[in-house]
Amino acid sequence: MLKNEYEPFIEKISDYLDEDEIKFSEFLKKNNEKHVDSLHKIIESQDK
Amino acid sequence: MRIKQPDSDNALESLMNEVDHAHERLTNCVSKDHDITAVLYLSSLIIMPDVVFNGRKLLQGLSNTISVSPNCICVVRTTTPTYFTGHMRTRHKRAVDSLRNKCYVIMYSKNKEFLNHAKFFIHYHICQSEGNVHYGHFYGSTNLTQAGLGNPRNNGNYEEFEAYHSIKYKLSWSDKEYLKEVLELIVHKASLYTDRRYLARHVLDHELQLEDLLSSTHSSEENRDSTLGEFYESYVNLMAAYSQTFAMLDEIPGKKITNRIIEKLTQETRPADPLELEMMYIDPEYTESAAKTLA
Repeated sequence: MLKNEYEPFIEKISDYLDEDEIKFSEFLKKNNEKHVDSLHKIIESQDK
Repeated sequence: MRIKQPDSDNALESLMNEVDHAHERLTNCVSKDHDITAVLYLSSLIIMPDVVFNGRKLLQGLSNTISVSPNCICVVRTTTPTYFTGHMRTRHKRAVDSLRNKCYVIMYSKNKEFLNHAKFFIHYHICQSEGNVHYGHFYGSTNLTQAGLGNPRNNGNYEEFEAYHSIKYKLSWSDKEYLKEVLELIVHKASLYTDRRYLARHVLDHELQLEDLLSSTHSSEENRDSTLGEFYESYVNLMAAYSQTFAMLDEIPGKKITNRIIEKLTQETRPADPLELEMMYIDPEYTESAAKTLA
């Protein structure tokens, strides 16, 4: 079922997001890179 | 460790205090334009949307804290609502849906985690400007339900919990382990949305696991020497894989497709009750006697 009903749509998955997923996608665009960088820096600086 | 008696709401009070503490620290540093990163890491088997203490909703308190700063990272680890039935499913789904657009919600593990039983709320507030870390936790046997945490009409649960907060100047080994876990989870969740190859690989990995399981189950069926215990193991593994497929479908992006697949699959057979399934996992030495008990 996954092979036929999900996989073919992966390339265009953003067309199939619901309202919460669209908001989460926007949230990721705005914040995820900073979240990841900050956590990396905190963990690395504390490792020293 | 403290006990929460059925007629007490001391666990809910302590948890609310921790949420308020995280909120206060964040508000204070944001108002001074400090360089901060905050982490809220919440884990529960089930979450109910209307857990209230002194007229204030727990989830609203959490949402208010997250909205103070975009530098607040919220990770929620819980069970897919699809595993449950009736009111539990409806209300758990409402709670989870209210968090989906602002938190990294995790429901499925590639490590084949069976069921998320860890119940905790941990918060870190790392202020580079002040050079310190405000840390707090709430650990307990309780789920995020009114009876679990509080005292609805003198009819709550008997539970144990612990709550604590302090200031640190250096993170411990276990703090770093939590933060590394948070980092791993947010990278994973974001990659599902932003990296098509990662998403395709993630889905394919699950399909391959299912195919391997099906092929080993067919071999046992065809092998006349298979024992009753081996059939029992195949049966439990197939039920677990079927259940985990729902968790996987709930976690990957594309609800307009995945909801349709979940509906089709649940029309055929509902996922097994996860708590019943959990009890069926036993040491291979005892599978034959378990199969006889079931028969």
